[in-house]
Amino acid sequence: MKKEVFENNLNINRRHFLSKAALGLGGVALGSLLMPDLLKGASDASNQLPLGMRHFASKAKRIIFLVQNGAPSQLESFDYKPKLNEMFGQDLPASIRGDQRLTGMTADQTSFPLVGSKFGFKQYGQSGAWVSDLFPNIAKITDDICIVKSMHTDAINHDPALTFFQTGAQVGSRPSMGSWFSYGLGSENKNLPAYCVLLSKGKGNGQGVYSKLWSNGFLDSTHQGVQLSASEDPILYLSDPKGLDRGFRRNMLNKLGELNEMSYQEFGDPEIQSKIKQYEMAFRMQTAVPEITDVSKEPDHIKKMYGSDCMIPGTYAANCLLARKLSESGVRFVQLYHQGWDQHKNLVGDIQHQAKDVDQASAALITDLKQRGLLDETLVIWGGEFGRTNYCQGKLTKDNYGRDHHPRCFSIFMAGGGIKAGTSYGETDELGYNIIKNPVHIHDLHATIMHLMGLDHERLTYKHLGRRFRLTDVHGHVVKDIIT
Amino acid sequence: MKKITNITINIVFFLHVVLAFLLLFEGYVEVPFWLQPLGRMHPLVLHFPVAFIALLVLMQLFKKAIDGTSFNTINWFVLLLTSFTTVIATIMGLVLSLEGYESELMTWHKWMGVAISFVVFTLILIYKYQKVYKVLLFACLIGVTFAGHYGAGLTHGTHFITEPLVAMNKPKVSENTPIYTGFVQPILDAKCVSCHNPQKKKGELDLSTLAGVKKGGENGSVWLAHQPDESLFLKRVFLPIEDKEHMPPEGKPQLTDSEIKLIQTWIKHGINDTVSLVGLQKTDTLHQIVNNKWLKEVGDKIVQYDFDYADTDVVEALNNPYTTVIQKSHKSPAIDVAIFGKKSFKPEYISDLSKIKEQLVSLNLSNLPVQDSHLNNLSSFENLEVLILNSTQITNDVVKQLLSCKKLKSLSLSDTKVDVKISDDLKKLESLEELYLWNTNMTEEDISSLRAALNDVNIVEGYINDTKEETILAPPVLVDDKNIINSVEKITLKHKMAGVEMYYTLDGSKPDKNSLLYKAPFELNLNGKKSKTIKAKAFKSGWEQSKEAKFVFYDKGLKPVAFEVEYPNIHADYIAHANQILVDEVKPENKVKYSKFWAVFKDKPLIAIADFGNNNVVLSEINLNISVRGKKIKKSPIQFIEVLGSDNKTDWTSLEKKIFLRLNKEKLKSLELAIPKSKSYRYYKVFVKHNPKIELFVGQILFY
Repeated sequence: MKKEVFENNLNINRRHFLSKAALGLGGVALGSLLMPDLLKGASDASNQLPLGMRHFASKAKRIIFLVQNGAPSQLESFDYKPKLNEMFGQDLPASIRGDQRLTGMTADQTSFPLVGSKFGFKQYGQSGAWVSDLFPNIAKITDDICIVKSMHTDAINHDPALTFFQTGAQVGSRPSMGSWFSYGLGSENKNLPAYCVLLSKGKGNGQGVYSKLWSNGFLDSTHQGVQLSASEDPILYLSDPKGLDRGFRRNMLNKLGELNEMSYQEFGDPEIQSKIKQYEMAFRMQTAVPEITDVSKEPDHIKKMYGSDCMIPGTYAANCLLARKLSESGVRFVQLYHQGWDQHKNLVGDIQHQAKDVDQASAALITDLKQRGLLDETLVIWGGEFGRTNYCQGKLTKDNYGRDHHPRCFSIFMAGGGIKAGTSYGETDELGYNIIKNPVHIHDLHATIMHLMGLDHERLTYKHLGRRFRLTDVHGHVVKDIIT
Repeated sequence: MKKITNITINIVFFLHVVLAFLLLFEGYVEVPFWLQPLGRMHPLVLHFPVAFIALLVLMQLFKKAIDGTSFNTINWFVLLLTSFTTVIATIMGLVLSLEGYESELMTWHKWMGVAISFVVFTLILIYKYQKVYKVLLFACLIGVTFAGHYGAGLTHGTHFITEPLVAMNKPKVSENTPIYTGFVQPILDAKCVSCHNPQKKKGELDLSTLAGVKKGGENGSVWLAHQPDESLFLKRVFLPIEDKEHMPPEGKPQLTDSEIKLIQTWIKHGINDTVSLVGLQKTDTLHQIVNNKWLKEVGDKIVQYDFDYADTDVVEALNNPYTTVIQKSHKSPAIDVAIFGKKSFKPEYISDLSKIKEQLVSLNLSNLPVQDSHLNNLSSFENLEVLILNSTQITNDVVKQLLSCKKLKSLSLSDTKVDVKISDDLKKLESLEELYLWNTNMTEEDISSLRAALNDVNIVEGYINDTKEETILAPPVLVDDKNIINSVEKITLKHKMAGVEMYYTLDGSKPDKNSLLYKAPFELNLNGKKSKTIKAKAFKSGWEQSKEAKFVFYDKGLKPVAFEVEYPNIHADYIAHANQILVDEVKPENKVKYSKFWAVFKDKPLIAIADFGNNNVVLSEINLNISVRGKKIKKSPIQFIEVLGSDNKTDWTSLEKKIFLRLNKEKLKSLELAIPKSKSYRYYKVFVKHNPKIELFVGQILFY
């Protein structure tokens, strides 16, 4: 920021001067040919594509990311491992575990008894995908989704893993995925933020959700995720005070805009421009938001489809319905967090509540987008930050067990937006510990998601602290096999 | 003339020095952007040396036909001109090459060009020795021919000349093409044949025809029918890339996974070169692979549009806060349009789109008050592919507008009033692939008759509630959460569903259909009590009754005319003003969280001053609903609460103070302080000192 102010003050800097002078002076030609750094700026500029437009035509225009915060077990959801039931109670062979580090919670355990899913699995749809009995509604839509069973990540604890999943780095302060899309593509609907965040909490063991997860990092603050509140009134303080009419507000903003513009002319701080934009957007949001957050006009059978919880603000179902409405209205990136998946103990009991919370509404969201012809242009992603171990944490009984964190493999699913529907990708070994086929790293997933949105993950960059940053840092390969 | 000759020779010499310099330091030189146009003029300038060299040769051939002195003068002049233009063209070419052309072809072209330039310069120096001159000149002509050919190969592609001949023979791939010729041989052609062809049979293997493949190489047959794992071809492919035996060799383009998969499956199927997609069962793996991946990829690559880009100014002008007009990508002229905002909609937003009628391929008008009359210009959008009209006021007639949209692939009419009569018009939309008809005036029979009529179209009718299972209703809610009232204020209940009946009780009993029916906001008489409870339930036919909602209303007591807090809290996660929250007439009942109903105090105590105006009042009690959050501490989380009175806001008299030595943190929900009878004051100050290790949450302060 300082730099911009400084440049504005000088109004012309060395680069400008030289590049302008050089045009007139043929003599500089040879000189600059031999001193490549003299006019270096040019080659940078040509590499960066203008923002706000896709790098190539693609299907997906919007994303809804259903973050299952706390890491749901892949072994009780989509990765069917009957071998584990056979080997109930036997120790995990050291050869399989390899050099995998353990969390502080199971590092002291003397044995690692294997345990299979307490819940049955069946095959569904034409694709024959295995889905556990915990997710009867998602099971019905397997032909619309692509299950990736070979996700893996670097981190082993919630906060770094979630931060990694959201921002591409384990330490905070990098822009979140939604912020990158806001930066790269802008908002489709200029009356709403490009990036919205909705929170909900299940009964299970919850893990923190912090605003750093939807931070704009070093990007402009307009790209920050906007957290909607879990109340009847999702965006606080949006309505005008009683007795203030809209014309008055308009006048006030016009004058304020003029003052801000004067200030910008004087200091050249780009944040002033963001501020003006934000005021204007807030003004338009005042009419746009009530239209969207009003779910009373949804047909009754739609409410039944999402489940009755969808009328209680702050529930996962209500957030799914709101997510559809926001996405339908052109919000580029809607991110839901549902807490409570961290089942270190009493997994059998807790996962049932948790699955019940999300199963119906997640499936309803996809069905709802599909019946409106929007699934093609909306990418829905469902998944947690890592997986869970195939061995029991704590005491193993016939009826109950717990599972620790497992970064080496986990399952997520995606739907719409150019994803190959009705497929499964990747495989884990028969004990569900290591990936044996088609691993997909978090960076690969990011690259793929960006590709689906028409962005080249290697070319969407932002220069900060002297280097160009990307969501995928210096990694990532697009998983072409799951794209239509 | 002599002088000019000398100057020219010097200039040409200097230019060659520059050329040599550039060549030596090529790796360190970066071309500034403004020099690039100069480099790019290489294809323009290079025609001079080509023509001049040819001219020199021609003159040499017809030397005898020209008078001696004239010949010498002209020939010398042309030679100087040739050398000058050659070196200029070469330098330009080098500059152009620095932009990043790298290939074998490039290397040849570059070095031949450089050589020609130096040779032509040599021609000037050895002009006197006519025999050597002639030899070098003819060598130049040959050189220029090759350099020119390689150069053309760079710009037009190596097969530019033969392309029209080859293209004619290129087979069109379809379901009937044998899988071998359609998909397998092209892989071999691209990745193997450059070394294994009849001219260059490495390892005695020729992979350019099936006969060659079947014959095998020096290690015998490479493909064994039905045995992909035993086939030498795949064995070599699967070797680690560092292995010498690995094919294709390191550094050459490798086979992709899907290519390997195809060859593997094809071998497994039995190396049958006549089998085609139509001849296979749909369940066959080979069928699936070819159909899902290969046929599609070869068949329709990227959608190419043949219309022009729209003027960027026009696109810019069409964008407004409610209309988003955006080109599909940098490389695609197609444009997507979406219009938002029910209340802000204007018909011009649609009619203005005629300015980009050619480029418009996707239009989303859902949730707008759009009627058929707004859509008069739809018929001019001849390249429209996707149209979304969900939740609009359109009728069946809209399809008539679409008959000239010959490319329309996807049409969404969900949540509109269209009915089955639309079918006749829909039939005329030839390229329609997807049709969305959820929540329209069509019955299940209508949809199935439509399915029969529109054979090729994928009709999505969406979610139909087929189970008779009754879902539980959500409970009623209290508008604005306002639960602090006096006897004249009205209570408003709300439910998010239409057609819901809400019943409530005032006596704490369970509400049912015999209880009071909520019709309109009503007054609640507290009858002198400090609080009263309303219980309510929602009912609707086809739904299970809701759970009971309980609302507790509190007496407002005395309301200060002004209220201020000394440290209106600022919390890292949110900013809210305690001086509003504490008297907002909402006493939060739900769990404590950062919301607009709770004020938070961290290191600073709660010090609030209430001003009751000119009519001094006497307080008998104050009541705060509170909660604490933080570490478990041995001592009480609250140290004391004190009430002080004053008439001028400077001299305060303590009226009552309560010190807490022990308080159970869990049960801490409210703080009450009875005030002994005293004289009346205008200002009252409430002072709550808490342990700074915890956070104190306060919902409301009530004065009685």
